[in-house]
Amino acid sequence: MNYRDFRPYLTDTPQKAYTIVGLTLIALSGFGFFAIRPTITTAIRLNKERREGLEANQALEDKIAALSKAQESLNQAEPYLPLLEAGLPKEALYDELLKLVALATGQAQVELKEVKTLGSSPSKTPLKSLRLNIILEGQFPNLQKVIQSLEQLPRLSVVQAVSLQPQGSWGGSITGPTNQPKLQAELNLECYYYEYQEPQVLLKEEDE
Amino acid sequence: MSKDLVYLLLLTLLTVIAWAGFDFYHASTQPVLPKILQEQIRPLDPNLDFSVLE
Repeated sequence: MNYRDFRPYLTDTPQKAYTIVGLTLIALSGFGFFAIRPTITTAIRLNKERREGLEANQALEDKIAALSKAQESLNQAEPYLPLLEAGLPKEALYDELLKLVALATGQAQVELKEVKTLGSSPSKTPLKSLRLNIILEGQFPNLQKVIQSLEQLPRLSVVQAVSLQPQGSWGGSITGPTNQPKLQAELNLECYYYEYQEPQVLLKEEDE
Repeated sequence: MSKDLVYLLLLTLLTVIAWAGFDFYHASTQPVLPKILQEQIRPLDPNLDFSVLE
């Protein structure tokens, strides 16, 4: 192909116009795709990064201030923390709970006949509860003491239901100095615990 | 250069403009900060509810 073959495209009036428009479009397309697009995209991204960085910086400063304040609040709350730990342990701790129940019944001179676990109630929150069915035998005032003791356990617990039945025929077995009939009490006790798991955010960041 | 070729080039330019437009939109909407940092900058309420403890 000789360069003279291009001559009509640059001399003839309609051809010349099309050629100029065509070359202009090629230049605009090429420049737009390879220069303008990446430049503006980078500018937009950098501007966004700067803006979000400033916001993040401000948010982190606020968080540092909030953490300092939280530390002060925690120092103020420190005397209460053992109470909280005891009230809401991180695990169910059945054996500890059973010891407390046994202690409460022993102190009130009530016979602990049976303890059944009714499982944990399903909960989506970390606050879980476990339910116990307790059968006791003793005189009414002593049973009352046991119920009061169970309600005032160091662990957060609630006596949900109580049912009393006379032991044998009503008034049949009279024991003790108070001459009161022995009763069988069935209690439903609900105890709570807080199954808290540490967030893994910082560990993930270290991994990355 | 024929008229058809000019039309073709015009369509090419329009495609490039559309491409660039979508790129700009994508760049302006895509989050820049990593997700970990977004979780770290979540506000923290430093006030403890002492009434619960008491």
